[in-house]
Amino acid sequence: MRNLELKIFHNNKILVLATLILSIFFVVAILSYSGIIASNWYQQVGGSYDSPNIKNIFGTDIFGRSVLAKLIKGTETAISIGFVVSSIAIIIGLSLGLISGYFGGIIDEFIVWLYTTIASIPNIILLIAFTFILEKGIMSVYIALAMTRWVEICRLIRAEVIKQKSKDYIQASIAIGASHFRRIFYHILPNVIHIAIIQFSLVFQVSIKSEVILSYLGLGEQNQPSWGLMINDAKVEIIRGVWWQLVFATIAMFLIVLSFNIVSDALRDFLDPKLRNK
Amino acid sequence: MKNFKILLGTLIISTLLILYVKKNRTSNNIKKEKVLRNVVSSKVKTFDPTRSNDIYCARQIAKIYDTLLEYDYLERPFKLKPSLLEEMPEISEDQLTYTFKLKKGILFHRDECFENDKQRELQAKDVIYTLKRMADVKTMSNSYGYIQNRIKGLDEWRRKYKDGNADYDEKIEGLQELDKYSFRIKLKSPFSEILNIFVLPGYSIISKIAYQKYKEDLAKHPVGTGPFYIKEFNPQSNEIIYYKNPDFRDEYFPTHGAAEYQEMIDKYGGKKMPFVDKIITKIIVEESPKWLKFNNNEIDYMNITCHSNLKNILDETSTDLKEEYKAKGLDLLVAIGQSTNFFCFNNIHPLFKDNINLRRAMNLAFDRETYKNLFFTKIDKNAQSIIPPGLSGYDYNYKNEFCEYNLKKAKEYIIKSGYYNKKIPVITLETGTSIKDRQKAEFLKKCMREIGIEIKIQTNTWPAIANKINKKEYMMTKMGWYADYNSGKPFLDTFYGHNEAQGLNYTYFNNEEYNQIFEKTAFMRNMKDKDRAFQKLNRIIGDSLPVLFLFHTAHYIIKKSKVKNYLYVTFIYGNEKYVDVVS
Repeated sequence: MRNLELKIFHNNKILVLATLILSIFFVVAILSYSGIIASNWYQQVGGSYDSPNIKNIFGTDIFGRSVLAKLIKGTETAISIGFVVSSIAIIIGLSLGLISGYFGGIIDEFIVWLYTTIASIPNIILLIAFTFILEKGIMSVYIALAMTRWVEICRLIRAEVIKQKSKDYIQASIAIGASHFRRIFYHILPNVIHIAIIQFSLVFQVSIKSEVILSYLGLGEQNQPSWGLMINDAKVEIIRGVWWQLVFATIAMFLIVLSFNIVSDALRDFLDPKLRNK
Repeated sequence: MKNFKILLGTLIISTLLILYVKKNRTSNNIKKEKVLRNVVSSKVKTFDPTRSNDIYCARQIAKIYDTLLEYDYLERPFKLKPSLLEEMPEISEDQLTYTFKLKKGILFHRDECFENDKQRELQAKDVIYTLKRMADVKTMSNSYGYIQNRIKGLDEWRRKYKDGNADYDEKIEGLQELDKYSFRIKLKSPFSEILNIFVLPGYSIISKIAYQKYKEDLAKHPVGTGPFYIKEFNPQSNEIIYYKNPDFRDEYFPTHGAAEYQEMIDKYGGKKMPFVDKIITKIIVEESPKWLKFNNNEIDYMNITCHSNLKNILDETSTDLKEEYKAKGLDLLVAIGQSTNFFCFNNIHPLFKDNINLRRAMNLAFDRETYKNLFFTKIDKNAQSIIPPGLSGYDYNYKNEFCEYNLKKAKEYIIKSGYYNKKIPVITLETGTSIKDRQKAEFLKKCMREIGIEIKIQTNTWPAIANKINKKEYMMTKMGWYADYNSGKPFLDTFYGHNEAQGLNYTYFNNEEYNQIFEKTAFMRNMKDKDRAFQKLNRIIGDSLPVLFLFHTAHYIIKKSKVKNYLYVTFIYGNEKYVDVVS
């Protein structure tokens, strides 16, 4: 297993680069969260709309605040959204998927009805509705995204559990008198967990994109820098030739989303037994 | 086969000919039609005049409805003149009785609610009905605040039916229908401002028949007497199309006015209005798409509120366009501000109530000069109190010591406010959704952080903010108030503590001394006495700081030179009827 892992990295320089980029983003987010860097992002460090220069390499915004510091703080917002939303979505999706697929019957019907209903509503409308109900801010973005992102995970897990349930090793565990709990968590879960891991990385990057869209629309984070807000500000700045907020926030978003896609693909290749055997 | 080819060829040729002729006809029609294209910066909530409560709705309503009086478009100083009235009202010696006479033959727009043209005619009963509806608690009109405690019997009638189901047929002493076209208003005490109030779009006259048919749907289905009408209004749409009212009364462009408008008078004086056949009003909240559409010739004129755009087009004086824009055939109109901008405190919120020191600290900590450089222009004036310059009650000698940026003093007042070594609760600021609204809010947040106050920004649509204000569920919000008419009084009305009209006293300021003087001004006949009283009230507001004062801002309008006769005055509404578009 370890050799296989290393082999994947050796044969795939792009994956190494993507992993490195993601690691940098994670480190930056952790340092920002712990207040080691960009804690004074709100302080004036230059004139209004200074273009990138030696002192402020990413330039300044309307209030003379460093765009680099805002970008770092925006990374913290993005990573925290990705992490919290993916975690909640995985917990909900995995639990409901396991219960639904394993027990079947009326429980399965109810859970299928629930996720079908949520899936039938366009995602962005649902997100906007959630943020209106819960008041705007980072907390409502967490909840709104988590409430919409568990559906796909649940659907995939449920299907896999139904498949695993009929396999011989489960029949054998029933024969030796294993409890439901043991069958689900000791036997089935290890065989479906790869789906959850792949989905975690996919939900992570989709959540970051959704947060940027929500903040851009004025429905997300309002009190702390966010890449979406920086892109939104650029709507009135571009006309004055102020391009730096837009460009740097877009590059940051592009890099993180691309890196996550590459890593997700590699994870799927690595963890999915069907693809691994090919 | 040969015949078939001939037949097919003939068919194709005749189809092409028909299409060509049709296209030519259509394009000729378009050429003949005069279309004015403008923009409004907010969603239009309602077309019901009595229930409208913002400038955006007011400007749309004024195209469709008429008021009893209006300001002369070209006379300076401003002068009232009859609009729906035959002549200026007759005022009794004691100034308590006003007799009004409507013009005969004024018709409401063609609408299925009327069975015949006779029903469409504007009558005195429509005016009485409009005023009663304004006073009806159920209507929740904030225009009512202007006539509260003024008209004999009206407030009693309002209170009698405060639980709803008001009897509109019940006679009220102060509102008498004399005949089909005449009516009389009796006041409790002299109130000369009443004529100014009758120019407000909120006081536009609605049709009793139309209201009885459409009820609350009048908001989407306006039936007025104005120069334009709309076929339908979809509140979700981003465009409103107005058509010229074919039955609009004979109204002509002024033949006299201030010397500066002589050119307009020479060219248009005596010509029948309106001049344009159609107005297309786009609803665009953000400045950039507005600007792009203006450059793309989809908008003929617009109010520029974005500092970025202003900085791009204004020359160093901030009063004229840069040469490159003039060369493009663009004109700039600058209306020196008869408005005041401010962040308002909810004065009944426990944090601000009875804590003038906190309000002082916040005023002192706000860096107005930097704010002005970022968001405004050189000619905007720092506000010392609520009444803007040029209106009665403005005091040129009054300097508000708390409107000067002084961080040291601000910190001293924080200590005095009782929050020394004690965390001040987070203040939520309700603001608009546009970029400039959020950036202004961020600036406040930045300034307040210097004195240890944390501001939480909450973005909302304007109707949502208005709703929170009405329910008293806000801490701070950003507001601006325009001169409703040519007086400082509309600004003072909004701070009168006993104002029952919903949402008018949006700061919930209630100062007994203020209330008493305000009530006394109603009895003042001498204009000098009144001006002195207004100055005193203005000072009380300045000293009490129920708001965080910002600026009296100038209004900038950029227009294509093909748009003629357009003037911008904050309290003149419905000016589209004077506007012409030349090719």
